[in-house]
Order: sequence, then structure tokens, then C-alpha cells
Amino acid sequence: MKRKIVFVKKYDYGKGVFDLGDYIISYASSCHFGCEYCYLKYAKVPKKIVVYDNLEVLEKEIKELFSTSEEKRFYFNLGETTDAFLSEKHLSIIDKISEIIERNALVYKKQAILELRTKTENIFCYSLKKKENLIYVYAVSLLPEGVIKEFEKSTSSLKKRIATIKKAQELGFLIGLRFEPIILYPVLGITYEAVLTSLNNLISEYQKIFTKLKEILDLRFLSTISLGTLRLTKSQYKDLKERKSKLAFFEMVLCPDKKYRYSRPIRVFIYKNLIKKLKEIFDDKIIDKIYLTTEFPYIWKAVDLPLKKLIDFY
Amino acid sequence: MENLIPEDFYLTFSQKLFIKETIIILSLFDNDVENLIKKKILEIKELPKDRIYKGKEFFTYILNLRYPILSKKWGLLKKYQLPKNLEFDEEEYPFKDEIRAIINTI
Repeated sequence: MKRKIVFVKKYDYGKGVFDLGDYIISYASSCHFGCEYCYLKYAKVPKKIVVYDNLEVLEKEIKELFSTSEEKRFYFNLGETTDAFLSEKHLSIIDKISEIIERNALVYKKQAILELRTKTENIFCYSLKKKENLIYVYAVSLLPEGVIKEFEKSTSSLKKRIATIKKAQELGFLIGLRFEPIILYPVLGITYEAVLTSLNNLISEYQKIFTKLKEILDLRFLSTISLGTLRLTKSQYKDLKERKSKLAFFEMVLCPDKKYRYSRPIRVFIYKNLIKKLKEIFDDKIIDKIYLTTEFPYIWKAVDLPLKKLIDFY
Repeated sequence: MENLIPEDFYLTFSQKLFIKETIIILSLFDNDVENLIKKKILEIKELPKDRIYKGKEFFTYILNLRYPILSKKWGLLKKYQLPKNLEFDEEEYPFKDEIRAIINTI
């Protein structure tokens, strides 16, 4: 299929949200996972899985971007509008995109980082020939198994996702740990005490994940760790509420970017405690690899993280 | 649902909508919410006050039920007149250190 609108676009973080400076490459749309929180269900994109093949247009856009921008280094996210490892076809297109980026990066003397984000175990089935002059980040979305079973029913289990990280390291990929969306589930009740207990349980669940990761991670390959709590558009929140989804948590507030998020004390509690656990389980230096996704600068400040663009982690 | 929005309490249209939404959402997490609210309605009805006071009392109760964490902060922040959703940069306000200590904790 031919893509009729632009392939390459700077990610629009929304009003007031800290801009991580990454570019999205929309070479494919949709996936079959049907994650309950996915925004794609509400976006004007093809409902069936589509991979676009008019890459000559993409090449023009890359040339224009590299020739007109003063930036020396670019961070491209190839897992925003679909799962990067969804099928062999996806990886074949990614391979061609990599060639285009590498070729033009050499011409225009630019550096490029490609993030391939996935919730699959397909790294065991499909291969991707890495280009020498590009940096690849194998980014895995990680959530507690109970949350995966409830809201990401068709995706790979946590255990399998962790196994893919080991494989990706062996293949020489840099690793990006993506703790997003962080979902407060299960919620044990509606009182202050019940919410607090639910939050403490959430932290324990993530602590278990961090411990498992510690066993297999080679820190030389670890590039970044992102933390981002669930956010929902107005229509998503309304729809989820009507469908009686447990994602429609009661203490969510409308933020300056018109998205619903858990209230500030809840978000800060989650981020602070997860950062604390990461430091305990790995070491204090891990802080240099952590960033928040789609959060406001005042939240970064509240959890003592310096504002940092994605490209500045490399 | 209708008997959970008492006609003899003064509530605006948008407050009634908010109450309906809150009952739906809270019911997803607690089966006993409706009974809890009914009990509170009876309690407020007994008060020797006018319908405006009762409406205000009831709506405050619903807000506290909906936002168990935030509502604890509202009392502490009352004197500063801040946005209730707490989504702001405290640097832009006087007494930022006092505010910060309240809004960034559970």
C-alpha cells in the first residue's frame, strides 16, 4: 500500500509535555494485539495491518530532514504506529528504511539511532541485518504478567519478553527497557487505604521484574529505561468507562495536554518508588539512563530527574 | 441511579452528570458504592439545613469519594487557591516549597 501522508514526523507530545525530540517513522499501521489502552483504535488509521512500500517518498523526506536540519544526531522511533517485530514483512521494510537512513546519514554527515519497539518474541523467528553505521535499540515494553493478561491479551508473556532481551543482547542490539504504560491494577478498593495498598503492590510487582532483569541484563548494552504511567484521551476514557474497563480508574485527572492521567501524587509516588527500586537493584548510576515518557517538566522535577532528550543518552 | 441524585438537594446539571459518572466508575472497583452513597444521602437529609447546603455537602462527599488521594491535599492547600487537579508548576506560585511538600506526596 502507498502511504499518502508523511512518513517521518517529529513526535507531538502535546501541550506542556517535555519533548524528548524523537522522530516517528510511520512505515506501517495497526497490529493485531488489540491492547485495551491502545490509542490506535481511536485514531484515523487503517483498521487492518498495513505496511507501506512507497519508500521513495520516505527517502525524499529523510533527505530533506538531514539537509535542512541543524541537528547532527537523530532518534527515530519505528515502533509507535505498529509493533516493529510484528511480522517478517515489517522487518523487511525496516531493513530497507535502515539502508535509506544509513545512506543519507553518510551523505549529510549525520548520526542516527533507530528504536525498534516490541511486545513480541519474534526476535527468535525473524532476523534483521544491522547496518554498521546505525545504532539499533531493541526496546521492550515491560509490564507485570497480571497486567499483560488483563489488558494485552494477545501479546507475549513477560517471561518471553525478558528472554528476547537476552537474545537481543547476543545479537548486539542496545537494550531499551520500556516500563509503559504503568497501569495501576488490580485496584483493591476505592478508599485512600485501598489505593495506597494497590500502589504498594504495584511497586512490588515491578521490583520483581527489575530483579529478573538484573539476572539477564548486561549493563554495557543497556541504553535507556523509560517510565510512563497510563494516559488516555477524553474519548478513550469515556469509551473505557462505558465498556466497564478497569483501566477507567477513578482518580484520573485531565492534564494540560487534554489527556487523562493518574493524579499527580499517584504518578510521583509511582515514579519515585520505581526509581528507588531500580537504584537498589542495579546501582545509583542507573539514574543516568532513566527518563519519563509524556510527562510534564514539573513531574520530572518532582522525581529529581534532569530533563534530557532521547538523543542525549547516546 | 436516579435515586442516588436526590431532587431535594440543590445540584447543577454538570454536578449531576459528574455524580452519575462517578457512581459508574466507582462501581467498577467496589460493588457496595451505591449503598454507601444511599446511606450518606439519608444522613444529609436529616440535617436541619436548606437544599443548597445539602447539595454542597453531598457534592463534596462525592468528590472525596472519587478522588481519595487528591481530596486529602485540597484541605491542606485551601489557603493557596490552586488548580484542583494539581497539574501545574509550583515554581510559578509563591510558597512553592510548602506547596511542593504537599502535592508530591501521597
